[in-house]
Amino acid sequence: MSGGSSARRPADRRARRNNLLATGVFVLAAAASFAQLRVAEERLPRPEPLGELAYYPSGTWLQQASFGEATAWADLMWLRGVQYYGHRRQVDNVFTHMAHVFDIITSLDPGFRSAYVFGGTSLCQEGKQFDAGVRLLEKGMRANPHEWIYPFQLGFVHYVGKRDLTRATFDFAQAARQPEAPDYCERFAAWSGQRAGYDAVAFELWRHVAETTDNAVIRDKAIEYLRRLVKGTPQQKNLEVWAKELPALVGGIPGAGPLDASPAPGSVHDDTVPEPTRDGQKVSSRQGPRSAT
Amino acid sequence: MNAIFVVARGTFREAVRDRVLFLVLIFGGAVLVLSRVISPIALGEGPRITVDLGLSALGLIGIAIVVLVGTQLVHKEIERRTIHIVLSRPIGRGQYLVGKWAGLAATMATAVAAMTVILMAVGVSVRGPSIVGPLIQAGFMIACANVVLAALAVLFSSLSTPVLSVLYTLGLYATGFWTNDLRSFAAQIPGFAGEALRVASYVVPNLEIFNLRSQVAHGEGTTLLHLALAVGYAATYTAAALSLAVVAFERRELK
Repeated sequence: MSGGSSARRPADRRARRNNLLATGVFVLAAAASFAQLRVAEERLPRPEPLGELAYYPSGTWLQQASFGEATAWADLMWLRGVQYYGHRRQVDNVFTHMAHVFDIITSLDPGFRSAYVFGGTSLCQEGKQFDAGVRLLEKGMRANPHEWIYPFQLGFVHYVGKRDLTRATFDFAQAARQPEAPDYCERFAAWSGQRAGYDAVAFELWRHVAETTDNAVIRDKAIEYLRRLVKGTPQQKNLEVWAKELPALVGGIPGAGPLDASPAPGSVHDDTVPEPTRDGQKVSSRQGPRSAT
Repeated sequence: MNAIFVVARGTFREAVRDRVLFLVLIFGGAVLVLSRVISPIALGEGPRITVDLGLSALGLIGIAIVVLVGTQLVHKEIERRTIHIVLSRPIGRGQYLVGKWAGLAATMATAVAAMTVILMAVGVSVRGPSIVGPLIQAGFMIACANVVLAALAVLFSSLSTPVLSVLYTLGLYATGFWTNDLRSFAAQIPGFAGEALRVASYVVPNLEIFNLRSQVAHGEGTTLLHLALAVGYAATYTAAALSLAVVAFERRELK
């Protein structure tokens, strides 16, 4: 027993020595490895975070190369694109590659609604790349012609970003014509059309809102706008007759509906919205193209 | 040192006998041919795609060897009980393990070198001789990254089963390219969780330091400083992983 124990002792000692040596090597190597990594971080040119986005080829090419997995690639690109947006938002609000990345995503998956809407509105607003944002939303509209969200967003960015009420009216009206469009599309169209001076268009849209809504408050607002439009004209009397003939509505929620007649200060419906411009010239909202009606 | 060399030579020969290199070269050749075939649909980006996909194939071949061979290295010998024969000779457990890693690294480096030569030939034909330098640098860096992964595969192989070793090695391979992102995330997270993530980002191998693909795809190489730091990092990280493996293996009961 003692002989076996004494025979094992040198082996044990050797194993312990090896262990100690290996532990020492580990500590030294780990420290050296960490130090080198820190030096590399400081001395080597650091690639711009997510800078590889600049090297991504076009979405058309990627779609060919994805071998049927285009939507999965679109998902991965979407994750990268959102990361890029968040990073640039935190750093400098300069979104150089955003249009390219969202173009790729939407080429890989032409039905990727969030990519169009998020990319388009972000490019127009935070990205200060209005044309690129509009191009993206128009691409969505072309790829999904029966979706109301794309013309609606186009109207929104033109209204808020450019104060282009003419274009906004056209886009909101386009949105309202699509199946499953929420009723506020028509109200937005009517509102912006009225502000742009398209009184006849606004009249028709408000009339349609009043006739089709099931919300008593919205109907009252629509009628109020109609009254303003025909005030002092021979149509005023006809309007009151028509309004009385509308079927009664019950259960209207006061204040409901996205379009309020007395908008909150600072909102897009505030009266401080500048007058619309045409060809760079300021025009009065009362000088709308009545002839067009 | 001689003992390490003997084990390394045995490991290399075994890999060659298992036709690992042969299969890998066939796979690599197929990828290169494929990259040429899809060039016509690349809308003028054919040469770039050839080099890019070729380098990806190099990296994949390296990781395939490391995972397929490396994670079974020790386990296979324990299963067959041949490890007892080896260790009954004047070879320490530490020497045995380092020898196994050296053999694996040599197998992988041979495959990557062969593939780099093929890729250089294809690269010169599509992009001219200026691509040779960047390709050699990229191939060398890929080999360095795979040397690090080989050390980790040996570490896991000495601790765990082959299946788990594969999972661990592939997991570290994937996270190795996200270490910079991990550090960015860590900076956003306050408190202990953020600090733990930051530490983890330094423990995980930083494989991005070995990645020259985007430069080479555009015909550019890198600086001597970058190469030196990458080689130094590969050497020290490998040493750290292998010494951990030795400590674990010294304590392991071999039945």
